Amino acid sequence: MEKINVIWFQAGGCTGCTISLLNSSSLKIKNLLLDEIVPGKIISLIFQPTIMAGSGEKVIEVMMEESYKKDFILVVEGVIPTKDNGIYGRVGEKTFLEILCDLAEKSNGIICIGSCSSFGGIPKGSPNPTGCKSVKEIIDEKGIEKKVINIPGCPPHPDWFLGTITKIIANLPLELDELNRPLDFYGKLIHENCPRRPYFDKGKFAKSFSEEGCLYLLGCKGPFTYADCPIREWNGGINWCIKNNSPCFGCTETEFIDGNSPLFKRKEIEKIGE
Amino acid sequence: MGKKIIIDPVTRIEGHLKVEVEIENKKVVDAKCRGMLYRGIEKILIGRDPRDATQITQRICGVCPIAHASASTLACESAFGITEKIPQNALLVRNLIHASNHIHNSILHFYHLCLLDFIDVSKVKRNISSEIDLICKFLERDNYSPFIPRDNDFRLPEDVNLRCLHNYIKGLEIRRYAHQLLSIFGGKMPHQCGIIPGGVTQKVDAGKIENAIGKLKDIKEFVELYYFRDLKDIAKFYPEYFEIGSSYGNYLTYGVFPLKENGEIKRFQPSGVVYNMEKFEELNPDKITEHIVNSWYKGEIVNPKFDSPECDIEKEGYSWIKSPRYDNNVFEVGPVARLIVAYMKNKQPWKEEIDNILGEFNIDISKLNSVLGRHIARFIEAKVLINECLNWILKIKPGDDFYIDFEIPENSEGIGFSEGARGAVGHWIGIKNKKISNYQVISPTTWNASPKDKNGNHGAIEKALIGTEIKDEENPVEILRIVRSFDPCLACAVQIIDKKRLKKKDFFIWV
Repeated sequence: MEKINVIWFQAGGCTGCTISLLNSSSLKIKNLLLDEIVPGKIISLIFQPTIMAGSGEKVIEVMMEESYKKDFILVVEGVIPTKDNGIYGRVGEKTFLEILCDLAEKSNGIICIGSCSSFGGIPKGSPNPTGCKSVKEIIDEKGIEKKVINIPGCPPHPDWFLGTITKIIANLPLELDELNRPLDFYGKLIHENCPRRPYFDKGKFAKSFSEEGCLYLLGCKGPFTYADCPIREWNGGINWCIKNNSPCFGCTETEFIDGNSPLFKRKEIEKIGE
Repeated sequence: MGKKIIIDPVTRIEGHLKVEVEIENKKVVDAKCRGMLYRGIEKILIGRDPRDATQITQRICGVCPIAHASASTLACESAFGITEKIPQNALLVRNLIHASNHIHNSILHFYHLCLLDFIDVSKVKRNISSEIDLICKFLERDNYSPFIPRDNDFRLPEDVNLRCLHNYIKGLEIRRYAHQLLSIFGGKMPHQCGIIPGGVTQKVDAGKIENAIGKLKDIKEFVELYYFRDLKDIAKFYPEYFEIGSSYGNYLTYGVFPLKENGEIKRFQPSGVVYNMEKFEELNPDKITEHIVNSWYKGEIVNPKFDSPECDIEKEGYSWIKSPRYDNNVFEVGPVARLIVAYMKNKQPWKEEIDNILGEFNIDISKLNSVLGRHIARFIEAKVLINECLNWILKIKPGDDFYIDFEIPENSEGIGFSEGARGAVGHWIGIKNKKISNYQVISPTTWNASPKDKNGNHGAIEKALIGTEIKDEENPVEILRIVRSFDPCLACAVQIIDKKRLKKKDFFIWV
């Protein structure tokens, strides 16, 4: 039995990415915690603060000790505050910044789950009160050369994370775009697969939420956003933003939040769908 | 000075919390709760379109985003002057979204955040159920992460332990159903997109109604049968936790789940204030202030409506959490507060269900002020809300409006009061030139995890810790069980940071 060790480090986030993972309905969370992900291979979740049994120094020690002894994948949820030496986020007497650099250095590679660790997300929104940076920005600055895979989304769909980690474990090739997002999930614009695309093409635009039509004028960022929400759908295929008659806020993009705010106003289209 | 125990991080809660307690003769004599993360979401809101606040503030917390989405939407609607015009259908759909999240939270909190304090994962027998089998195979691989390391105080008999463990796994699935239920109306979860100022985005049709009823039936079965039995057994084998973790007995709730009844908006869980478990008073929002005498801000007392105090790191104090107070008194917020207020107001079906469940546990209502009491309160809420969701669904009138259009005023201000699973959430918004000019959030965990106020009174969690006997200082499960019973949500306490490092380490026991 091959063990793939995972350390899940929560930095400046809202735990939404963890909860989204708990919502997984294809490969279920019980499989991830207890089962073989692919035959002969299991994930050993050394550290995950929302789920793990222990608390306090005990668990910090385990995280640090194991990280010296073992090969592991580092998963980062949440953003890294850097202003004032990163004092705005700390755990176990260390700043997130210190812990990230330490773990990143020792890891076999990093998966950033969510828009915060991938790109900065909401906490990086203007005026960026705590000087937040993405994981990639920080390790590049510090000269830490590790592979980074970004799984953005606020939160990301559980399949995007689980699909990526399954491919890694099964040693299957993973193709990334220029923002380090797996093309399997972020390969096409929302707009390309949008069920309301016919409305857009015909010029039938909703001007109020009580009207039927394309949501572009109500702020939909689908034409600018790479993700497979329209075909994958959310919470086990129940629904997703545009199916719920809500504009896409473009949460998988670096423009989330400043470039996409105001959320309910149209964003000018230069080119669409290439 | 006694021994100091520091727990950092407290896991299985939302966010980054550090707890320090001082112990003399095995008893906690002083306690401090410190939040460890500051993001400044309120500052990020300044200058934006007011409608963005609903989406941005729900990102304060991925466990209770709906509470912030609701409070923010209500604050906007009060500022826009459209509170009374929101269609009944929209209120019903919002309530379904909101209640699904409270139901999810009850299951998550009991099974996945707390139960590992009581059940022993390593004691299992094969072939009891597929869930237990999964654990057996897991243990045979000699790989116990993330279930070790852990604290030890396991007393459940083998059969009860096995059943609870089975339901820990089963609960993972049932909790997911609650979010699927939410997603039917809210688009996706976490961070729904259905609730917006003016109503909800989506009309509800027969297919959604049928789908939602199906999910509710599955959740109802689990909650009424398994959740209830498991909770009863925890209470049976850990009875002293009816005496441990009591706070002041002062409770405050803003009320939640508004609906129109005969043209008037009423809340299914009513608002109110209770002093010392007995004296009821209607809520008067003007009595809410924030004490900052032990927080690193300039001043002593501020008003959330007008003031956003400047930081002052030179000041004596121990937290960046402000201390919200009502009429200068400390209040606990959360499920117990909501139940006690509903009980005192004779609100049905709450009163009947509370009496019924208290009877099952053979306790009186004062025992809700304890670790087990908070767990029982969450169960009662889940049970009642599941049934009420079934009623709400059938009240939706598919042909009627779900949304109304509105204009954003040039200048205005508004307040939005709602409840997260963990307690009262208040949002204050100021608008100038159609943009947000001021935004303040008082979240439940700032009420519960607040530092000492101007009168020297500890916050609710600190109060609940003080006086507790710690049987084994190397293994202070009592502290963790008390803190977790409040279901603290640190990401919500957006104002908090811990800037001061402790200098002396001579007496520390690292736990």
